[in-house]
Amino acid sequence: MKTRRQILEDQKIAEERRIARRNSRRTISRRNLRRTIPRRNLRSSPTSLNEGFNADLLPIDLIISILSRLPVKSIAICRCVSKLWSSILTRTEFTDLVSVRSKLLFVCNKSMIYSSHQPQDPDENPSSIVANHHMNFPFGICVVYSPVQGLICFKTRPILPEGKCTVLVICNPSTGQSLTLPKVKTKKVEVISFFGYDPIEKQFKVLSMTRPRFGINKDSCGEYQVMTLGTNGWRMIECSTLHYPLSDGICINGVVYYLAAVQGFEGKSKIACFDIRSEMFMFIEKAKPERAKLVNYMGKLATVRSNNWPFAICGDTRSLELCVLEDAEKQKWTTHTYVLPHLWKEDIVGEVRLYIIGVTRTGEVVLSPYIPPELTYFIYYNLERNTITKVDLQGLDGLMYDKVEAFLDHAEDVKLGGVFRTP
Amino acid sequence: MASSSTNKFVLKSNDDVSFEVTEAVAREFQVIAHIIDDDCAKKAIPLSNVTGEILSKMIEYGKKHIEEAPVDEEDEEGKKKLQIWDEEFMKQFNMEIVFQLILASNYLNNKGLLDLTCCTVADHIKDMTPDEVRTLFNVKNDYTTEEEEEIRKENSWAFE
Repeated sequence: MKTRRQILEDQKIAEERRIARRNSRRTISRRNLRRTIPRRNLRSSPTSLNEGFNADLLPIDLIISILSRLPVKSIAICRCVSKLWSSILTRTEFTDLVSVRSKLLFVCNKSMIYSSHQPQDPDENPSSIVANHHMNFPFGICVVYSPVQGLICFKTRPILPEGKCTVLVICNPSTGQSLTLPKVKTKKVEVISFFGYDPIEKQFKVLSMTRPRFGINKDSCGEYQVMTLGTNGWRMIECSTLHYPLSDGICINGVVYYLAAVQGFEGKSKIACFDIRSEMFMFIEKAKPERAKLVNYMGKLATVRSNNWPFAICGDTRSLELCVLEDAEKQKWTTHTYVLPHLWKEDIVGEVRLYIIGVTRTGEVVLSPYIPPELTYFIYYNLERNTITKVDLQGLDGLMYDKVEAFLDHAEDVKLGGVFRTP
Repeated sequence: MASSSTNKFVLKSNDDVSFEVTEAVAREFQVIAHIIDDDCAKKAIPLSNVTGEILSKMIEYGKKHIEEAPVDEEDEEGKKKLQIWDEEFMKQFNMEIVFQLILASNYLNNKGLLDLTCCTVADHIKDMTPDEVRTLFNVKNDYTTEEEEEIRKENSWAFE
């Protein structure tokens, strides 16, 4: 049993420790500031609006916590407040905080871009989310590539005077900035592209490959070209394995993965792995011969399919099969089968066919009906808990859409400028 | 040992106002929960960084979140009700109080209230001009005219 005196002592010590922790944190922030900001800025005089309270008392970490909740547009405005704020808003600890608030991104009718909050925490379970409009494109988007690090890449067909040629456009839906890439130099007819980001060199690159319409090599791409965003043009690169892409690409940790038909490998497809930094290709065997959706499962490449469809799931589906690439070099996969909850058909899906959109960072498979007007909800299937959550999508109703494409984990880019900055 | 619904603790603000709360409410604040777990809470717990006015509001928030806690994960109605209450609760405060609530909920470590208060400020400033933000946060504009013109140009898309 502690004495009264001991308890008092303990309380005092605990209190002192807390204050010391707090102060040490503040000292670190201030030290960082001093490096970039003249000392006088740390002490600005109180003005009349906040009588009795000086907002200078807010430690930097709390200011960061407040500002990280702002829309990207307001963050840009706050950069104009002062040099101190501008330096806070470009720190990685701030931009990282903003980029984890992943969004669901929608491209409607191949011309309008919307986004909505993406539920992250399996316990969050909101019953509905609202899509907000970002921007419209005056020209038609032919192909949309999965968003990478806050940017999206489109293949578009400008109206005139370019005529039939398609061009690639990079855009930041949060800021509305866009950048048209120079045309891929080729005489061949078909251009297939992939968009990726290397987190080490912090570079965006576009990989394009071209295929002739005729000739003996018409089943594979002959030329492989890369463009690093922020540089001037396309560079030819070597790929000793001629192949033809069969699926969309997915960029995970600096590697773009896609399914490819490899020449001399009749009827069989492999997974192409393109390392963004080294610009080297590698081809690995799939875990299973059946077609399946490529997804990012907890930072690893994985394939998902249901027992009766490659990319979809319906009332008659019994289970989902997930194959995770554990080691690309050794081509080691692990396979898991998840049996859907009892009454899956009766209670949840009915006769609708749901498409696999992807997997969230917390490992939930996201499913959605594909064709409007059915795209009014998402299903989150938690593999570990074997639970299903239905989230309604609002904000797209009342509008006529032929097609809505949904993408997971669109991280908002607030580095603002970057590849769009004019040199 | 008494159950947590009957156990009472006294929280004392820095201006000597005491509040008696149940253990469940006290535990809404992580720092106080630790003091209780360390068995250091036999008498009034002094909170040197919080005024009585702020502490009473925090206790009101804590109480509501204990009393009206959603039954389980599936209790959408309960969650929604609490969310509406949160919104109404924040409406009564001016920014000065909100800033003090941010500091206090950070100090006492209540993540829910910290999130709520930070969101309230973010929501308040999201359509402000740089000048209005400077006034609210007491930030001095240290850009030269040329520098300010430059940074505004760089972010011009946001002012459209």
